Amino acid sequence: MGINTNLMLEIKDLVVEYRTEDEIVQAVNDITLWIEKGKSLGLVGETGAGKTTTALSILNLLPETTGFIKHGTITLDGDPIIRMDEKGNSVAAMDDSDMQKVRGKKVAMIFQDPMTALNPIFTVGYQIAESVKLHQKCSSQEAEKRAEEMLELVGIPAGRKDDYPHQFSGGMKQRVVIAMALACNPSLLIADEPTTALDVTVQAQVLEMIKDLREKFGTSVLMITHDLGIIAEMCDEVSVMYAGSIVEHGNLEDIFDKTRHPYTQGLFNSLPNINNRMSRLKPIRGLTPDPANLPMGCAFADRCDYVTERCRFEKPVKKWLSDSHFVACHLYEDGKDESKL
Amino acid sequence: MIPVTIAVIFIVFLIMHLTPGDPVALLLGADATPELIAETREALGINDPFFVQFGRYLLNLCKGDFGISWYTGNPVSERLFSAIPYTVKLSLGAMLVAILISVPLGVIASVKRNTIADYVISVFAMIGVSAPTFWVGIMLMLLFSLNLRLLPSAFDGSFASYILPTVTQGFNMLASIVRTQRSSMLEVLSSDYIRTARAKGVSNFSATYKHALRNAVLPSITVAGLDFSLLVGGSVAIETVFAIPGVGRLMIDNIKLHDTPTVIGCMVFVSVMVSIINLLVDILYGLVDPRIKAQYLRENKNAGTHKKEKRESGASDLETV
Repeated sequence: MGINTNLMLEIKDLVVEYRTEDEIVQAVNDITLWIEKGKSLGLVGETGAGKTTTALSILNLLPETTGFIKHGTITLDGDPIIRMDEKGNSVAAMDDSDMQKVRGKKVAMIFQDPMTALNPIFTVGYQIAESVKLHQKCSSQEAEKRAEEMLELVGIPAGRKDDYPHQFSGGMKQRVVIAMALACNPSLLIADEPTTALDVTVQAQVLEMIKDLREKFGTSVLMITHDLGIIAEMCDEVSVMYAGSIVEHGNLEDIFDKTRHPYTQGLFNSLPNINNRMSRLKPIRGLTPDPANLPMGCAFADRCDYVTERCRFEKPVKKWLSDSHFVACHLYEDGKDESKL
Repeated sequence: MIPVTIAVIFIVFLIMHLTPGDPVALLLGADATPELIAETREALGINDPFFVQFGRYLLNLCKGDFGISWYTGNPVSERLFSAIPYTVKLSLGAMLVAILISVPLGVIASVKRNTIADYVISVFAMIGVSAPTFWVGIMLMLLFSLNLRLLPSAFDGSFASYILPTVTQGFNMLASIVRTQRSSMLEVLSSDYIRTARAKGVSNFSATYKHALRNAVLPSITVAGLDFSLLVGGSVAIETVFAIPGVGRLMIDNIKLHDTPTVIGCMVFVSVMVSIINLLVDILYGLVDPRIKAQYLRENKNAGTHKKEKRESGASDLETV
């Protein structure tokens, strides 16, 4: 890949662990991903695959006492956020006050659950204005004005700025969260399942809005979701995450038309087919492995239809199938037939 | 508030009625003649049936008459009102001391959880709840009055003489508030909206003290309100140790003397005071949390629209007639 100055975000070899009293949960295992400026990357995977953990690592906001970045680097627009020290441990590259300037200004995050993401005791206008006041040198009036603009932008009448979060519906709250995230024109927007908690009609509106804003401001987006439909709609590239690793990565065409990894294949098979409503859904059998006790070989081996002896003992490595497309599966190593699936 | 007070009066009346011992015999001494005793009993109305006594007391209370002390012959209200200021000052002071110390301690314990600071605070709070107030009072008196000679040991109504009793009593309240504050603060600090706040660049300090504290203080307000009722009870011990002529001492002295009107007067005061504190707690809730405020407002609005509907339906009834 080399040094690419056009990268908004670069995560290299990231390993994140959660340590509790009696076990170590390996949430993220050696992932590498990158987003070019103005592009959007979709991160797909089941619950517990480590998607949110990856996102929180970018903001260096993992739960303080339990979450640890063990290895890897994170670089944001050329500035290191997480770097490796001489001993090979990952450390925060910025002190707290510098990091606070990055959060909300350069990287903003939309959280999964709008019902709990807003502070119940402050008005929504205040919560948006607070972010503006923190990052832009301006008076309270100007910040408030900006908050009003942002509310209008996400389709909420500015007159409601003095209302409290409990006076809004779920969809409206998510709009407020989005307004808050976008208030300082961030260069990178992390959207962590922004529509999961919303009903379908509102989902479409929210996605449309993020898309519009992206086009308007040229924001790079990291879209975290388990919904392949959203990926198809919103993203330029896709990384498929399974049990803390990226198993397949490519552009939309690579992933949707030249699906390679058995897990990605399984994800598509478990979607309803609108052209053939009689066809049965094929769920992926089994469950994701316990991240506190990952298998020695491929994490997907137990659920895979193409499992071989080798899969159980040896971790598959990345294999580039084209300039844009890679897969981590033993099926495609050694230049074997690529269309086996 | 009024039903609560009536219930309290009823219970105290019943207890005083059922407890053994003859107040009149105590009052008149050992050498009183049986005739005199009978006469006095009649005069004080003790011979009347229980419910007659109870009803008469309530009626008098409505007129603001707390009755006459059997023992001294003075109006109870007079004795009560001379004692109330001491107890009110003592209780409110203790509550203030407790809240001012325990809320910050709870916050510190939660922010620095599982560190030495946290453990020290926990132990401190545990001592507060387990050490009996009278013992703490005596120890503080020994230290500050006798050894250091900083504060007066005898109560004379001056500000300095209030310090030891309020601190003693506040210390007793500390523990539950510290623990509540710590756990609610921990919960709030790990909540999604604190993460949101930090994700938009709010500093740790501001996230803790501006975003989290106000949310986390609600349970502490509840506990403080509940503790207040214990505090009024606890004032009996404190007022005895420090010789403060407050309501607690008035009550305990007169229970011994079987002076029913005085005891009930004290209980009425205590129950009214606890009710007022609970009311204040509710109001504070509304001020701190806009959701609770909205709930009250909504209820009022609903009540208003109901009335309106009733009026309208009444009007249509008239029309049909």
